[in-house]
Amino acid sequence: MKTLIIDDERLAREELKRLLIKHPSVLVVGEAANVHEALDLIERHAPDLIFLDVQMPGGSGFDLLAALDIIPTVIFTTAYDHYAIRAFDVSALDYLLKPIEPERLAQAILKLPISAQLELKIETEAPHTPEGKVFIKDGERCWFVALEDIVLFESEGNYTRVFFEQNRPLMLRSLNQLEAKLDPSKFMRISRRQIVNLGFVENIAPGLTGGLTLTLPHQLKVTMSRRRAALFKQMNRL
Amino acid sequence: MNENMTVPDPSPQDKGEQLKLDMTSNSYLINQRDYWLAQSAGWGGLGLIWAFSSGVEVTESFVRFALAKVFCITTGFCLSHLWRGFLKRRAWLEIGGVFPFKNIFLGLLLLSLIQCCFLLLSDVIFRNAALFEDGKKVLGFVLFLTFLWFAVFLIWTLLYAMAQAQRRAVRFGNEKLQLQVNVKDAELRALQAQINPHFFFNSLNTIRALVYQDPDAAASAIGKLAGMMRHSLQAGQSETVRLADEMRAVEAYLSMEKLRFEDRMQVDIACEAGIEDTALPPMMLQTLVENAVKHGVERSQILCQIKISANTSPSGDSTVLRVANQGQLGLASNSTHIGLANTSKRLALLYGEKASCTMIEENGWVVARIVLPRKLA
Repeated sequence: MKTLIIDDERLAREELKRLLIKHPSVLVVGEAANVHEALDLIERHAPDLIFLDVQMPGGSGFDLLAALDIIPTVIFTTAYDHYAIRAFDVSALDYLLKPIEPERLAQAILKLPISAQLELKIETEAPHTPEGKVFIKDGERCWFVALEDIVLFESEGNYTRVFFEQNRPLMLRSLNQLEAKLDPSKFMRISRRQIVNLGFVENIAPGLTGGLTLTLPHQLKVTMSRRRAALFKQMNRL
Repeated sequence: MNENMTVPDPSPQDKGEQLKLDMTSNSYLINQRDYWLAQSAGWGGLGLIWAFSSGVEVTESFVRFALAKVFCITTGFCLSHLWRGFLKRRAWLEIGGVFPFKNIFLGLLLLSLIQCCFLLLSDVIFRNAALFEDGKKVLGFVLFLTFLWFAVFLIWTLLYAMAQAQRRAVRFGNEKLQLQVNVKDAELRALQAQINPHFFFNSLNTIRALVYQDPDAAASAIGKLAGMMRHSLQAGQSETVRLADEMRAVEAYLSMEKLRFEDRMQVDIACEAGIEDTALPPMMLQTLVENAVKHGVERSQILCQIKISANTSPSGDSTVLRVANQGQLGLASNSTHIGLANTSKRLALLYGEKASCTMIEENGWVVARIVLPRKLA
């Protein structure tokens, strides 16, 4: 299992490496001291697992995740800010408190996906975010949200507003970038500005300009452009 | 309050107790003085008005009359003073419980009867019993005089009760203020005495790494951490510490951080000789240095310098502490501003207007500056 250690303190990295010697399934392929180095290494090695410090100069661990398209399995390492981690909807991500207890580390490694532990990963398979999740960081808040829970993406310049549950955070991705990564059978581009999760459409009604008006949860209404509506009807043989 | 600070004290509780005692004994003296002033002025005024009420022509009968009046004023003065003692002992004017109208009424009646007796006595002594010349009118006179003196003592009691109420309100206000100050100071002290948990756990992690890599460095680091812990624990117990002791804790702290940040941090400390005994609130310098590390070094990917200095002010009557780090002030978080505000509040509580705490940015440096009045720990 290819692993990266990302922490700004050399001694902290050394200590984690020492602890990982007892876990032969974990192969440390690189170390990074900041977000910038980490991005480089992740691109180069496509690691399965990263140990990630939360507080680093020049960008936090959350900033790193928000900048990634493909998120490996993440184990946060932190001295005290576990409250910060718990505050976010990042339940899928584990965390270890420094100084790290060897038993606790063993538990965390046991919890990793079995395929990763047994190294049965098929190399040719295109890597994708585990469980189809995206990491969103908007200001001080973070979410690690499953794509299937997202109702709507709405373009705002270089950013995209993501609608899920009661949240409307902004994500630093253009709508076009996102569209390329979404499953077209589940997500549909309904206009220049919007991509909708078809699973959440509650009602479809003809709109004024020949398009379609879609009703989404929380009284959200969006309009599908005429051209897209024609495509949509054709697709669904309406 | 200021003088109390330099007295070596065993515990904060004792200090609070002592402060309270000082305040009450002081206010007791002031109250006594006010009472005698008011008592003398009141009776003196009444005597003067009364003495000249029967004309200003100095004849023998006038002098006799005046003497009788002075005698009566004196007995009135003494009776009201005794009455005051009685009211205090019985606590009839204290708040709480049913107000004893009946008792006070009877007391006043008794007072006016006694006073009336004195008046008749003075008439016998000074005016050859002029009042008793017309036997038929004596009873009417006595009733009238009793009523008059009842009114005088009633007014006296009302004025006394009002003064008491006023005094109680002031004392209550003072006590409340003192309590607030004590609570605030304790809160702030507790806040600043805390070892930053983030630092603490990171340090332990560093030490564990060192245990395997460099046992000697690990041992020395444990000693430093222990010294810091000790200083911070003591901080909660005393109002001020010596600058030299605080400096030592700061140095221990910085050497721990140096282990963590290695070549990302460089420290320069300059402490003027001869001011080691300056008193400062414990952990105050430490808090500023932690801030400098947090917002300077922790956020910087390249070398960040920290400069700490302690000097006598140009005027010579205060000490200036300066903590500077490379970086920008705009990056400071909300918690820093709260921390700074707390430091200012502590200084204000301890030293009043003479101390100050400021933070500015100049030429790529964030500079925190504390001015402390010169006082020995």
